[in-house]
Amino acid sequence: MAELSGKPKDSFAQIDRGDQLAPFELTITAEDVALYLEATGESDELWARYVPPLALVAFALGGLMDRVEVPSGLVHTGQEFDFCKSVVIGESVEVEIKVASSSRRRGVRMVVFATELFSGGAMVGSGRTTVMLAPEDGESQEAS
Amino acid sequence: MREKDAAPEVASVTRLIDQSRVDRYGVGGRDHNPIHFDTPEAAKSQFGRPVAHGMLVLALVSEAMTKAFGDRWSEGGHLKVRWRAPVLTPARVTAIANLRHVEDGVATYDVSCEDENGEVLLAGMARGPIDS
Repeated sequence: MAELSGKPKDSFAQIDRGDQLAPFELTITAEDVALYLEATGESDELWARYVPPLALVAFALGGLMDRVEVPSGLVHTGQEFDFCKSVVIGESVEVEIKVASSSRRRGVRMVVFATELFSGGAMVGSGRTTVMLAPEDGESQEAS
Repeated sequence: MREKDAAPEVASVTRLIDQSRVDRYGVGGRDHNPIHFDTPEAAKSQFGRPVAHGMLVLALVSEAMTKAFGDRWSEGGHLKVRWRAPVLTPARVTAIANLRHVEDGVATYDVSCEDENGEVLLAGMARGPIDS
């Protein structure tokens, strides 16, 4: 198991099960929420005070991509998340991400990232993100 | 009142996902993967053109659950989905949730997102706590 520094970006090819990203902090502003809502088209009076829960997931994954060099062919294939507590706009959230599993079959790489979000020591959410990277043309299709 | 009767009906949400929205989501959703934009990487990808962010599609499910559950969605909601097909823009996408069962004060729904041709883009389940 290794702690991924994220500086410079760690390579997706190098990460393995048990690796853990150095924890990082998110503080989501009203402008961040407004940009997110404008893009998704969602509106609800709740989001005048709180961060939309899926925005939290998106921003945590954005932090992951800031720290791990993601190949352009990477595809997000699955997402699981438990939302435990509303996060107020401006509240700081600590993000912990580790590699829950990593496998390769017939050249296709599958990686599951486990994410936990905390605020003031309490968990506000947790989830698992599955990504897939298909082999590039000419790359081995053999099982490994 | 039976527990199942306390489960809210989750209304569907439909939205046009076009390249302009995808471009804006790249900023608002902090996902700058070039496969989502008009880039050489998107052109040479397995899809041959830009595809919408999966999280942008999933946002419709979260929106539908928020409308039904309010802040209980943020404070006890659960979702688990898999993407089945890429969204090639423009597409009119609808998020649908059908009540599967209610147990121990939690309502479970089968959720999906479909395009205007009925192709399933995403499928899975979502749960929310109900007032009992």
